[in-house]
Order: sequence, then C-alpha cells, then structure tokens
Amino acid sequence: MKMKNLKMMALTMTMAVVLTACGSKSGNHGAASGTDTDSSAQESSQDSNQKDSQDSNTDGKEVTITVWGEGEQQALYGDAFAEINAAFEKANPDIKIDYQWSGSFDSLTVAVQTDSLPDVFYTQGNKNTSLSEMAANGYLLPLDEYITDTSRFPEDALAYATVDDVLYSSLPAFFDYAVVFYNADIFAKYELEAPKTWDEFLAVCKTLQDNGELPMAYGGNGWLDRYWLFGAMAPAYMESEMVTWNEGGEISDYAKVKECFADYRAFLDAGYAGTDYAATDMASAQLSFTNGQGAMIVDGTWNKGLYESMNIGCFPIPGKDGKGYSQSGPSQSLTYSASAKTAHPEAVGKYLAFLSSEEAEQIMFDHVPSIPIVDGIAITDPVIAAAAEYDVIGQNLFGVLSFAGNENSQPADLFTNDVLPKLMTGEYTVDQALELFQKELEK
Amino acid sequence: MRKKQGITAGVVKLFMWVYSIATFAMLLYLVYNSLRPRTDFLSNTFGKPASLGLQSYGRLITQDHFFRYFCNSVIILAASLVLLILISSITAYGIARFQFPLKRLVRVFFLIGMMFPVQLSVVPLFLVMNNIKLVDNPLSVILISSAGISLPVFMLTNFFEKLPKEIYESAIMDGAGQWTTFFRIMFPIASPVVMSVCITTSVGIWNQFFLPLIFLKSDNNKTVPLLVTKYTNNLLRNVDMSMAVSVLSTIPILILFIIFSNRIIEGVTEGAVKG
Amino acid sequence: MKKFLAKRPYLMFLLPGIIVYSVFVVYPILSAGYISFFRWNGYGPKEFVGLQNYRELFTNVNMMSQLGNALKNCLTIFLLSVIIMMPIQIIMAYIIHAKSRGSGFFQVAVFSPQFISTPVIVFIFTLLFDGSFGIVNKILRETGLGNLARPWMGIPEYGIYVVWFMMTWAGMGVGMVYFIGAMKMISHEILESAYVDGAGFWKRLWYIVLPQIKGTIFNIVLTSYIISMTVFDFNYILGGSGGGISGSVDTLALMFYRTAFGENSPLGGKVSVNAMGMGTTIACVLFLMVFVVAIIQIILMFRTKKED
Repeated sequence: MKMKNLKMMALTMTMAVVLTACGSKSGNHGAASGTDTDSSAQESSQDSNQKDSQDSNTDGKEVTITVWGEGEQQALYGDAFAEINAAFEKANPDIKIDYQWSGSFDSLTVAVQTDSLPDVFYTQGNKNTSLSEMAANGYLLPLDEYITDTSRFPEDALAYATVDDVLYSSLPAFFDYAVVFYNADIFAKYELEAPKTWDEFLAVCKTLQDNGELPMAYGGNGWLDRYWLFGAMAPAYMESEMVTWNEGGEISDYAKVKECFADYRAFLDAGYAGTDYAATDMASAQLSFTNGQGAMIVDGTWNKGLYESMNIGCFPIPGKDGKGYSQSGPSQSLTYSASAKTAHPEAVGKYLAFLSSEEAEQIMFDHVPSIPIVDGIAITDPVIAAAAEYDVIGQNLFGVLSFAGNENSQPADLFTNDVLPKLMTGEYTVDQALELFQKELEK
Repeated sequence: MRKKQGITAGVVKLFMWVYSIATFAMLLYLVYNSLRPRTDFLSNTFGKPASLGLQSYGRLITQDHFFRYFCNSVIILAASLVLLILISSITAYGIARFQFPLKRLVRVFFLIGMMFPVQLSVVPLFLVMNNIKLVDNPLSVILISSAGISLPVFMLTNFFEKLPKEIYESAIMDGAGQWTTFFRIMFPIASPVVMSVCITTSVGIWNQFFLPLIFLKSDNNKTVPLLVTKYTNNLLRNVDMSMAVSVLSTIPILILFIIFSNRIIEGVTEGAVKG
Repeated sequence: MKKFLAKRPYLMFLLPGIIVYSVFVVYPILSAGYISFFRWNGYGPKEFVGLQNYRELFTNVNMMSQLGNALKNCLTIFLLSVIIMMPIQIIMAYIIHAKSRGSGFFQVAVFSPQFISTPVIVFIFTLLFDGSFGIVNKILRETGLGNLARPWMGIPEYGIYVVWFMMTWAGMGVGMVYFIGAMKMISHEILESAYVDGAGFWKRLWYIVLPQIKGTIFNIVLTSYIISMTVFDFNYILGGSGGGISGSVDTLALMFYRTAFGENSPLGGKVSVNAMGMGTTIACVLFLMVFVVAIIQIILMFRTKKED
C-alpha cells in the first residue's frame, strides 16, 4: 500500500517537472493576449516577462508600459486591441505595450488598495463614482498636457472623462444604447415598418399579436434584463426630470413619471411581451429572438454581434412626439486612465492620446461597430446606421438614479430591486410604485 | 456478493442509474453543443444541427493557446496538492495522535480558514506577495492554495484519531522514530481518506478563478478558468467557444479523476466490504 | 533544541502547518477584521470609528432586513443539504462501496459536474428548465402533460431552491467521495460477521456502517453548514449582486460583496461611502456566525464522544 502511495507522489512530481518544462517551452514561444494577428505584440509581452516586470529604462530608449484591458470583454475587443497596439508600436518604436486582459473591477480595487496600479488601465469614466474617487485621492495622472486635441469630441464625451475640469482618461468616441432590434423577415411578412411614434409602435405590436406572433421577447427575470425596456422608455417620457435628478435636484411634478410607469404596465398588460416574461431571463429572451420566436427585442447595440447572422433592423424607442430617443452611455472601449505613479508618463501620455485619435477609433469601429459620437468615422454597417438615427440623446436612468442618491436614500437600488420588478409582475399598481419611488427620491 | 439486497436496494440502484445517466446526458449535451457553429445554435437551438465540427476546439488550441493555460493549471494543481497533502497530513497527525495543552484550541484554529470570504483576504495577501516579489508568478497561487488546509486537516484529524493504537505502539517498540512511523505506517493506512481529500481539493484548486485573476497577470501564466471566463462572461455571444472551453477544461481533470478513483474502488484490502 | 523537540514531538508535526496557515490565512483575516473598525470607501482616507459599523449594521432597518433575509436563505440551503442531499450521498456511497454493478460509472457520473464552471452549469439548467424555451417543458407539452409545465427557473420564491438544486447537482460527488473513503476504513470483519449472521443489506447500513462513520457524518454536516453560509457563485450568476427579486437568492457572502464592492454594471454604479468598512464588518459578522455555530457543533461532538 505504501508503495502505491509513494508511486503516486512520484507520478505527480514527475508530471509537475515534465510540465514545467513544457510550460516554459510554450512560454518562450511568446505570449499574445486574446487572439492575435500580429507578431510584434507577442514579442513585447515576452520582453516584459523576462524583465521581471520591472520597466527597464536602461539606455533611456526602450520603454514598456503595462496596460490592463477590460478582462470581461476580452473576447469582444481582442482583435481590435491587437491591431491598435500594433499600430501604436509601429508609430512609436521606442515604446512597447504589455497589454494584459487582467482589468476587472476586483483586480482594480485590489490594485488601488495595495498601491500597485499598472501604468494604464481601463475605466468607466464618470458612469460610476470610481473615477472621481480615484482622482480626488491622487491615484490618477492628469492628462491635459498629453491629450491636447479635444475639439472633435462633444460635451458628453468630455464630461465623461473630466473631474473638476481636469482630464483623467482617454476620450470615448462611441456610445451604445438600448435599441429595439426587430426581425426583418417577420416584419416583411406582415409589411411592417420601423415605427416612428409610440402609438405606431403599439400598432405594430398589435398587428404581430393578432397574427399569432410574439411581439417582443422580454427577459423579466434578471434586474439588468428587465431594466432595458424601461430604461429605453425613460428618456422618451421624463427627460427633463432626469436632468434635474442628475444635478441633485428634486422635481415637483411626477405626472410624466407616472405616465411612463403606466405605459410600461399597459404594454405588458396588453400581452405584447407574452405571458412568461417574469420567468424568462435575458439569455432565454435572446435565444427566443434568434430562433425566430419573438419579433422584437430590446437589447444594447453592443450586443449586435449576437444577431449578426439574422436579418435584422433596429430603431430607437419612439416617444409620443415622434422623436427617437436614445440613452447616453459612452462606450468604455477606448477609455483608459493612467496611474499617477507611473514611471513613464510621456509614453503613457502618447498611448492615451493615440487611443483618442481617429486612427484608433476607426480600428475599433472596424472590429466592433458602434455608434460614433465624433465625426470622421464611416458607418458601414446598416444596423448601426439605423441605430444612429435617433433624434435625442436622453439620460441614462440608472446612472441618474445612482447620482441622485445620498446617505439616506438609494433610489437606484430601490428602483431596480423593488419598484420595477413588482411593477412588472403587477404586485404594485402604478400608483403604489410611483408613491414608493417618489418617497425615496424625496429623502 | 450481491444476492440478498432486496427490492429497496433495487429501487435505489435504479435511481442511481437514472441520476447517473441523466448527468451524463447533460454532459453529452454540452459536448454536442460545443460542436455546433454559433449561428446554428442561436437560430436553431433545439432543432437538428446544420453541421457538426471541431472548429471551436481548433481555435481554442491554436489561437487561444489552450495548451499553455492547461500546463499552468496542471503545474499549479500538482504543486499545490503535494504541498497541501503533506502539510495537512502532518498537521492532522500531530493533532490526532498527541496530547498537548491547548489541543482543542489548535483544532479550532485550523478551522477558521474556511469561514472567511476570499475576496477580503486578497488585499493583505497581495501586499505580502508584492513584498516578496511573487506577483505574476504561479508560486504565489501555489503557496496560497496549499495554505488552504482547513478542510483537509479537519477531515484527516478525525481519521487519524480512529487508527488503532496497537500498530502505532508496536512500531514505536520496534524502534521506529516518530517520522518513520508516520510515513511508513500510519499515513499509508489512512490513504483512502487522503485520496478523498486529494480529489476534493483538486477540484477546488483546478476551478479556482479569483486567485489567478488577482495574482497572475501576464498571459503566459494564466490558468484555464481564466480562459473559460473570457468566454463565459458573455456566454451567449460566445456560446460556441464557451461550450468548447468548458468541455476542454472538464475532460482532462475528469480523466485524472477516473484514474485515481479506481484506486479508491480497489482500495485497501482491509476495508473492502461485501454487499 | 533537539531535546526540546524530542520532548514535544507534536511540535515537529504541527509547526509547518501553523506557520504556513498563519501567514496566508490568519493574517489576512485579522487584517480585514481590523478594517471593520474604520469607515472607508476603499479609495480615500480611513476614519477610525470603533464599533460603530457593527452598531449600524444591527440598528439600520434596511441592513438588518437584508441580513435576516440572507441568513434565512443560507439556512434554507443548509437544511436542505443536510436533510436531503446528505442521506442520498450516504446511500450512494454505500452502494458504490458495495461494488454493485456500475459503481465505477456511478462514481464518475456523480462527480463530474464538479468540474464544469458555474456559468456553464447555470446555462445548461437554463436550456433545460427555462419556462418558454426549456427542453423539460417542451417534453412535457409534447407528451400531453403541458399543464405541468412551469417556469421553473423564474419564480422568485423558488429561486433559492433552484440555487440549491444546482449546488447539489454540482456538489453531490464531494460528500459522496468522503463517505466512500470513510466506509473503506470500516474493518471488514465486522461486516463479514454481520453478513454471515444474516443481517440484510440495509440493516447492515443502519446498524453497522452508520455508527462507524458517525465522525464523517458530523464533519460533512459541519462543512455543509460552512458552505451554505458562504455560497456565492450560483446566486451571483442567477440574481446579480442584488440577490434577485426581493433578495430571493441573496446570501451572506453576496451581501458582503455587494456592500464592499458596490453594485457595478455596464451602466455605471456607485461605491458607497463606507463600502469597505461596512463590507468587512459584514464579513466579520458572517465569520462569527459560522465560527460560533461550528464551535458549538464541535463541543457537542466531543461530548457524545466521551459518552461512547
């Protein structure tokens, strides 16, 4: 018996030794993050690995900067960044990019708390409070002297990256929002067109329903899934109210909020989202849509890739006034910040300026099309073109509610976890939901 | 011998067959879906597949360098396991076979590790690793993993206590030192439990995602779970790769388990039981 | 020095474990516990507040209700595991141990879900059990049992049961393997003689095997308790960091994560003013809850052992 044990231990140790050898062999073949199309990216990471992750500045010439990309989106942005990094290195032969997909909310938090932020890391800008917190506590490198040309960018983009009038991140060139995708084949079958007003939209739903189709695949089971429909409707009804909330103010008249709640409820009551929506989650709704069992779905333009193989169109949620409303949400695909403690501010500055340049933006668009907010990007994708046909960029309800909260009230939490789900299932009537919502906001 | 088991046993066995087959069917369903191209799965989820092929696996192996991640996972697993079994066995043995003051305190001391969420421990750990320059080195993950001895020590202590004193005493009388007694006699006898501990901790270490996320930065050093999450973060959009990578990360360790579990079934002859 | 050690042989065995464990496990816990006495949002300066975080946790109505709800969910999982999953594990272990036909297959099949990553498990269950889409409901409808079809995964009140079901399916093998190992340690003479005496298959399980593996049973109960209190993966995927509709799948570990790291999403999010401070407080409270009950269980075990 003991022989068996010893044998097993020996076996595992041999395996470990053999595989260490194989590990180092494959290590020497160079590393590339994500899927790569270019070998220069490989060499750069290999270099930095061998240098014990110490940025070398020996002869002052070649410099390596460490970049943390958004790990969660590695599969999506992998190709785009491989190309962007290659282009940057070509233009700046003395700077090497060690691009790692290790950025995530957890790893960034740990890095902040252990004072080990990498040179560059992705950020969500002012969509959440971490940018301002980090800036206020001196973790970020101010970027005004590096990113000088900001004229191409609209107000929103600058607001996203600026804290207290100082620029802290590269600028977003795109934005994504929740549109209504529709199955073009089904629409063609009933000779329907993308609706331009809310009433037209309801009429389209009715036609579909009368013909036995499910008008909208709606996932009511997850908080985020259930939010999209309402979040897309919000700007069409209560845009000015949201602006007030965003600035920390209070509104006096909740009539429009009530209307939004009521129309949402009416939409569900009419059965346009089917009967099982409360139990369906987003994945199921999406699968229903891709299987042709739902004519429309509210989803983000960032998810367009999911529907690529289908014949789809899209339109922004129309308001009663005939305008198409989108919700603001600058895309964080190109927004990165720099650590205040970086050893190579010049190199970092150049990289971030590159990310804010037209060249990088075009590369990103080619791989992951989304709606540009700057000029000069040719929109080649018809679906994105349709999504870009909005009239008004509305507020992002969730973001607004997050900022409207204070020590004693959490309207964003209350809304997503209580008011909206119960309004959706009918547990609250419109009036009850409104009352709760109002009370929380007035705290 | 299986004769006198009766009807209840038959029913139970039937249930087990059903359960096992159902589980296996689910796994096969996973494999089947991994062979389908993405568009086919999305538009025709429950219908007949348009084509079946290994293209997802091909991409995993060539473009994603799956083998590299796999090697890393195996190294970390093997090293952590060896260290962990060693440390927890001798610790459990020490607690079980000897009398000393504060014995109960020591037992409880070792239990503390199981009760705390790992996300919190990570910041101080990171500082420690940073100070000894082990960040982005698999050794950091190995060391931390092998410190997860709470459950093994707990289980093993119980077993070491049960071992008959006579064997121990005769070994000592024969002049064997403490260590020899341990290694040659006591440890081998407890090997079924050690095997169980091995298997269950392997699962934990192989699947662990949080530690490699924080401590392993460059692509060279990452482990399989990180590759899995690359695709499962947006599961539906990458459904074909998600399925394939899940299958690839499951099968090798499953094979390992089959090899080791046979030893459990064959096991120590003294422990065999007749049905 | 050598004499010192020779007189205390146990030290040789215990020291390596104590050292490694203290550095990598105990020190981080103490460090985190230290933070619970501060008010801190993770970025800025820390402010010492003594026990105020704890007081706030227990007096703030919102927090208490979250805590209570999460605790209730954890305990539900624990009870279900002990009452349903554990007996099944024991019986399965017994059958496998008896080397019935197919034991090898059983072992592998029961254990294999452990290795599949959690999002994939949730996805598979969605494919199977989804209300409109799932295979189970499809089969029910096709075979005329359509009115039995339910939105299995979606009903909020059942959310925690779904989590438990997935945990059980994934985790069945672990306990079972321990029980098999434990059964192996039973001296086979006792069982032999029982068999010869005519004791049936189940009688042997009840009267002989069970008492012998009492220790393992207790261990598994304790570990189930600990696991139930610290479960995180499945309910995070199902319910997000908010814990589902009305916190139906909220658990203590999830509540800790939500408080310490804030609710974050592609839409943005917010880290509360006292995120880390309160977060570590919750973690410490969680730890104490587990710890105290574990101690009680161990004391009870020691007491019954003495009575043996």
